Order: sequence, then C-alpha cells, then structure tokens
Amino acid sequence: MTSSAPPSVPPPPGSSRSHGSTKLGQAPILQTDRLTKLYPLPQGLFGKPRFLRPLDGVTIYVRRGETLGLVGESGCGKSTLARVLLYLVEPTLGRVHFDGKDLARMSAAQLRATRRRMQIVFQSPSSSLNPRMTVYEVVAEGLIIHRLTRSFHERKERVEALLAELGLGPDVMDHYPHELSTGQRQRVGIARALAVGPDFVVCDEPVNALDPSLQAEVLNLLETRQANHGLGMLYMSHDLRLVAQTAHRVAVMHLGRIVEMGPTRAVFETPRHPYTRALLSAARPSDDPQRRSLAALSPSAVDPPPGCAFHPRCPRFARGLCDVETPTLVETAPETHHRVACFRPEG
Amino acid sequence: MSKVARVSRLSLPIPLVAPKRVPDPTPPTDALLDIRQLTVAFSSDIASLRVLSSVSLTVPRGGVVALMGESGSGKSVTALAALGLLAVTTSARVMAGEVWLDGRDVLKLASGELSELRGGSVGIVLQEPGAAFTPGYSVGFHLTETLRLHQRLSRGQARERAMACLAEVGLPEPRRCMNSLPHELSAGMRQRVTIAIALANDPRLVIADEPVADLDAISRQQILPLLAKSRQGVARGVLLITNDLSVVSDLAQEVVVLYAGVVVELGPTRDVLGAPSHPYTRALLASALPGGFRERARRRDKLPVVGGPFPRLGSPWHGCGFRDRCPEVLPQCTEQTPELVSTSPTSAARAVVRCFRAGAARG
Repeated sequence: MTSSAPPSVPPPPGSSRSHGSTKLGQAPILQTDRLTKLYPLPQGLFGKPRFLRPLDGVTIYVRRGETLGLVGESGCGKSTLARVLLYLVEPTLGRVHFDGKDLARMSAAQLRATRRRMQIVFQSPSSSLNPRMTVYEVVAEGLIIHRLTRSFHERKERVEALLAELGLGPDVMDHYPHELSTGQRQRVGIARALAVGPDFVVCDEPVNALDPSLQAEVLNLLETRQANHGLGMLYMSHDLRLVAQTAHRVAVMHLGRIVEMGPTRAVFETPRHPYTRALLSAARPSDDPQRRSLAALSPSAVDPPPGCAFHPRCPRFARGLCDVETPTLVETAPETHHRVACFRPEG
Repeated sequence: MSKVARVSRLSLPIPLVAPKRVPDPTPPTDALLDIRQLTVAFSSDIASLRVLSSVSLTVPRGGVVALMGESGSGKSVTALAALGLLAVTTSARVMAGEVWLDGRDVLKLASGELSELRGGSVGIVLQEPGAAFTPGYSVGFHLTETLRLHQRLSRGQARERAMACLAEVGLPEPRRCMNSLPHELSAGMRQRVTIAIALANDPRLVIADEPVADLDAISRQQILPLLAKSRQGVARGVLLITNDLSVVSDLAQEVVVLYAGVVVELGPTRDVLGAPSHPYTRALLASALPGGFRERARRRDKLPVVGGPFPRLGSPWHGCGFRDRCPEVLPQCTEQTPELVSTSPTSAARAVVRCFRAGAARG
C-alpha cells in the first residue's frame, strides 16, 4: 500500500490578496487528516474508561510561505495540536503529512532528518530551555546534531548573528537561562527554532512576554524570514491583533475541533460561527457597547456535550439539532475557502 | 541588551550611592504599597549593575497602578523588591530606599513577619506560571498549603475552599484539577491556578506580573475583575506589571513607565496612554500595534519599533538614558540627567515626566 492520499487542499488565492513580497506556494508544506488525540484518565480497576480528548478530527493545512493563525480559548487543544503536528506526541488517530510524506510511515532516522525542517517555539520559555546549558549551547545544539556547520567559528558566528537579529548582544551567549529576563529567554527560544533553517515553524505565543516594540521587531524578523525562505508557520496567540498582523488564514478552535477556518480578513470581519463572534467580541475594549460576554466556563474536554460542543453556550442554539448532531466544516464562500462548522451560521 | 552585560567588559564599577536611610522614620502614608527612592543593584565581586535607580511609586488602597516598560527595564525586579523576595530569588541587593507595605517597612521585617504578609494580605502572581509551581506536587497541595498557612482550617475545609477558588477562576472540573500535577495542565489553566492561589486568602493588595499573558479574551473578561475586587466587592490595590495596553486601559487608574530602571513618566491612565509626554512612552505606544484586530487584518503594514540600543546598565552614564534612541534629543540630554517634572501643575492628579523637552515646553 502506498501512502494514503492527502486530503484535498484548495488552490492558493491568486492575486486577490497580496501580502508584501511573500509568495504563497502551491503545495502545502504541512497538512493533517482528521487528527484525534485521546489521553486515558486514571480510573479504578473496574471503572469505566474515561478519556480526555484534546483533539477531535482536526484537518488543517499550511502552505509554503503562509502563516496559519490558530485561536481559541485556553485549554481548547492548541498546544496539543502543536505537539502532534511535529510528532512530539503521536496522534491516536489521523495522519500528518509533511512536504507530502506521512510522518507515521517514516523511520526514526527519516523523522530525525525531517525534524530539522520543522521546529517549534514553545509557549513557556523558562521550562523549555535546559537550565544547565548556556544560551550558546542551546542555540548551537541543533547545528551540531544536524551537522550544519563545519567549524566552531562558523557555528559561533551563526549563533551570534541570529541572536543579534533578535536584539540580543553577544554577551548573552555565555549566560544560563535563569540569568536572563523572561523577554530574553523567549527570544532565545525563537533563535533555537530558527537556527537550523526550518521550512515550517510552530509559534506558540512566541512574543507574549515581550514589550510592544520588541514584539514588533520579532514579528518583522519572522516576516522577513518567511519572505526569503518561504517559511510556513502555525501562529498561536491569544492576542488577536498579533494574529491579524501575521496570519494569512485563521483557524478557530473550540474544544478540540476546528469550528471556522478562512482568510484572516474574512474570519475577522465577517465571522460566521457564533463562537468566533463571541471570541472576537470579547477582545473589544470594555467600554465598547458591542462587546458581548459569554458564559466563561468552557465545557470540559473529558465529557464534551453531545452534538456541537458549543451548544450550551450558544445564542443560536436549536434544540433537537445542535445537541444531537455534530456539524462538520462546510465551505460557505467557495472563492475564499471560508469554512464553518455550524448548522445555523451567522451573517 | 540589558542586565546581563558581560562583567569582564566593564572597566569600572558604577559609583553607587551608599545605602542611606532617611534619618527620621517617615510615617507611612495611607498608601497600601509605597516604594520610595528604591535603588537595586545586581552585584558580584567585580562589578555591579544598577537595575533600579531611585524608583518611587505608590499603590493607593483600592487603586490599580500599571507598571510598563520594555523587557529588562526592571519591572519584575520592582515587584520582587516590594515583596522582600529579591535576596531569595536573585543576587540583587537593595542599595537605597524604602518599601512600605500596608504600613510596614518590608526591608526591615523579619522573614517570619514577611511570610505572614505574602500570600495573606498580599497576593502574588508571578510571571510565567510554568515556573511558579513545585513540579512534583499537585495543584491541590499548592492551594491548600496557602490556605492553611494563613487561616485556621482543617484539611477537609481547606480542600473545599480550594475547589471553590479553582471554580472562581473558571476552571472546569475543579476536582480533577486539584489532583493534577502542574505539567498536566495547559499554560492558560496553570495561569488561572496561580491567580487562584494569589487570591485564595482574599488579599488587600495583589502584585501581578503579566497575570493574563497566557489567557484568551473570554477568560480575561472573567479574571481581571477578580484581581481588582475582593469577594465582598471591595476594591483591591493592584500593582499590575504588563505591557498589554488593553489590560492597562481596562483596569489601571495610574500608569508608571519604567525605562532602564528609571521612572520616566507617571500619571493617570487616560493622560499617559492618550497624550504621552515622554518620547519613550510615545515610541512604546506607537509600536503597540495601532488599531484593533480588524484594522490590523486590513492594513498589515510593517510595524514601527523603538529602535536603537538599550543602554548598558553596567557602564555609568550621564544624562538621559534614552538619548541615543530619542528622535528629539537636545544638547543638554547628554550632559545633565533630567529630573521628574510635573506636567499638569493645575490638575489635582499627579502627573510627572522625566524629560527636558516637557519641562521646557510647559514651564
């Protein structure tokens, strides 16, 4: 049996949406097919098995040179998706195709070689840096493992140049992570990911510990890299303005499912899913009359409500439909590939 | 570059002000937290780095004060100093100044008295929830420990109370959460747990370092009011350390802008965010993604940055610390160090700025 056919990816939008010098590639660098992850919960010996389901049939794709923004409430499964995409955690069901190849079918050596091309900037900079390695060692480790540099001097120069791009002087190279401020640590995490020249990077809240000016500097750097190297990115953040700034397309996640996906402008200006609406309206300033509040208690991922998991909080809930059947992602606008998983979409 | 400038590069240690105490113990003001002329330095045998220079700020009872400034400007060090935690967590020393917390001088308190304050009448939300827990202990252990240290509660009562605290911050399934280890939770959940711990004993003052950085807008709407108001609906004092302008404008009455360990601007939120007087504040605000997310999605232009080098804290400098990056620098900026001058001599609210231009223009 040959590798299973990857799910269909719509062609990239043509000249309708230009974005700087970025050229959107045709082929997706990464795509997934109905990814599901189950974590068994500790039970008694004879108890009924229960599962935590942080991912439930997630199908996404990221093209070369494209940024997919991922938004959703805390605990909705964003970080789990990030780990599964890079096979740091194996999915229970579903497939991940990187550059057309199924990660599940790769040998350990192939997977290791592929890992150079896909990197992650972890959310928590303090717990993702080895406390016993200096900044230089952290950033240079990937260069050594993948034999990307010939000499010590070349390596040192590469690390120094990269840190300088992120506004860190050469002095920090000899320091340990605990000696740095949180903002500096976060930039070391970014340098570590970019050092090996990846084709795809998952950025999990990469700039949330930085002040606005540094945020802007780092985002500009990522954008330049994307334009020059055709870097594909999955960008996760709770700051919708940062997502709007970086992402070409946005996916909205609720309790392990993608409920809406489409071009950034379409999703942010005309959200179709009631959950997207609520999420966007919560980001308005508190004195804005249009701000709607939502029952803040998100349902549990252990026993999600039947049907559409959003129905207990939904203002457009239809009895007998939303609490029985689970909606699938349906294309609402064929020209922009704006998709929504809702029986009664807004707008 | 900031506080980690390599020690060997420094030719001279900075001449630091000798630790001096104001001779007469000034009676504490009504403020909940009163930081006066606080100077803090990281010192080693060879050199010292001054990270805070004569920082003064007050948090009134029931008032929210936001502390802003770029990475490495000394925000978190200020919070640690206010809690008497500097010597515990870092190699920094308080060289001069006073910290009055609820009428008591923090720098003179015995460690036992400090422990009574911390977690009791003063709640602490530290930056990076991932690093704020002891890895091997459950969430429930952390919460009940705080509760039982400060209140007379049985184990059962403490567990009940702890679950109520977790439900308060919007965690689904408090019971399961109690038995979880910190690494089993998502970053946003961990952050909510740290807030639950900080608020467990209903403190009068909360010192919060980026308390909602890992939370989405919906959870923020729920959490932010909890920080600023006690369970009885009484306003709490909050020292809020954040660079998130939406959080600042939502919650804070007063804003303090810190630059390289120096207060460069202080005033009512509306004035500082609406009409900043210091060029650094203006640059900081300009880079803060102008417009809402809809406008961002439409424009997506290159983002403005402050640019220029952050001053080396290790090397002694004269004049204004921002002069090398300032678009409107004057000759005197390199020679003299500007003082804090009032920007609104007429209005009752305090508003000061440390800039020659502001002083010259207004008066």
